[in-house]
Amino acid sequence: MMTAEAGLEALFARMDRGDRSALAALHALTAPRLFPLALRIAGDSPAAEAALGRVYHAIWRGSAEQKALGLAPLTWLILLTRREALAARPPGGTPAEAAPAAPAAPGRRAAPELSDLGPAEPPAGSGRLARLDQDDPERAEALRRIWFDGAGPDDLAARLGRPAETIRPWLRAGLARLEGRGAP
Amino acid sequence: MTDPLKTPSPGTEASPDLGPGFGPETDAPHPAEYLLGLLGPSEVRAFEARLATDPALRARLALWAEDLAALGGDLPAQDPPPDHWPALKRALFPEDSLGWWRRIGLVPALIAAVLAALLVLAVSGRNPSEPAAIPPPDLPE
Repeated sequence: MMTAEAGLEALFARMDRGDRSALAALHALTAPRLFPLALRIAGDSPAAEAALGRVYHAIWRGSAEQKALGLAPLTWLILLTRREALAARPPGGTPAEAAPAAPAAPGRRAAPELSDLGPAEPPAGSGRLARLDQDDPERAEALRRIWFDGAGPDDLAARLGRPAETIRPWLRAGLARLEGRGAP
Repeated sequence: MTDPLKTPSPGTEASPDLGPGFGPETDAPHPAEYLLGLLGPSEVRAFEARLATDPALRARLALWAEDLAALGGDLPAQDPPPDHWPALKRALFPEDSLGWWRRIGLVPALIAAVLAALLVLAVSGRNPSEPAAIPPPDLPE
């Protein structure tokens, strides 16, 4: 049986050849995973839908950037979705913090040519950020604010009561420690 | 903010050599900073130049991308509204949603319509025994 990741790679390859049905299958498999992320970041459904639309537009136009960075297809789709959803956030709004958890409605639509694959499962990651949650909750929270809310050094500085110019070195040191390098 | 790649700080030479992609972490932008969009434009350019020539840095980037992408992994799956795909399809492939006459083009469609009308006229003109559609009005006696 084809793995989910190999299935998505195969769809990307078919899209590179202009196969529209591959895009339909990709949407069916990945939109249930990407939409809640877009909703969490963008804050409301119209903004999330618009962001998601731009993600699939970009994917249809080509996956050169994904190949250049050597990223797995779903990882790339998630990074694109975050980028587009942050750009789609209503100006001045911080809706994500207040957004309630979306009800689960996983993968009702089947992709006929990939019927052995369920909806795309999220990347498991290496567990490093889960360790950060345990060992260094302040940095873990800062990373989440950057990821989900697009918080910049100034926002984090105000929240943490640190000078803005210290935020990036502080984060970088924490990231380096997670990789087993840098001072403890 | 200074560009750490363009202005290496003193002491860099004393850092232990950890191999390609493992530069002094306090100086070089971290792959996660790149993925999170925390780098300025000149830092992005420098980082991407390093990426192009440093497979170990690309491998670290891929791992961090997986870790960051996993951050939303606990969000329950949810379909977008049912009209999302049809709307996306219409936007990407507008020609698919046009009527047949617009797909083949307006002028050929008009020519086809004129030819069809001429054909109807020719056929009805060759069959004079058919009763007129409108009976002649009754003339006064």
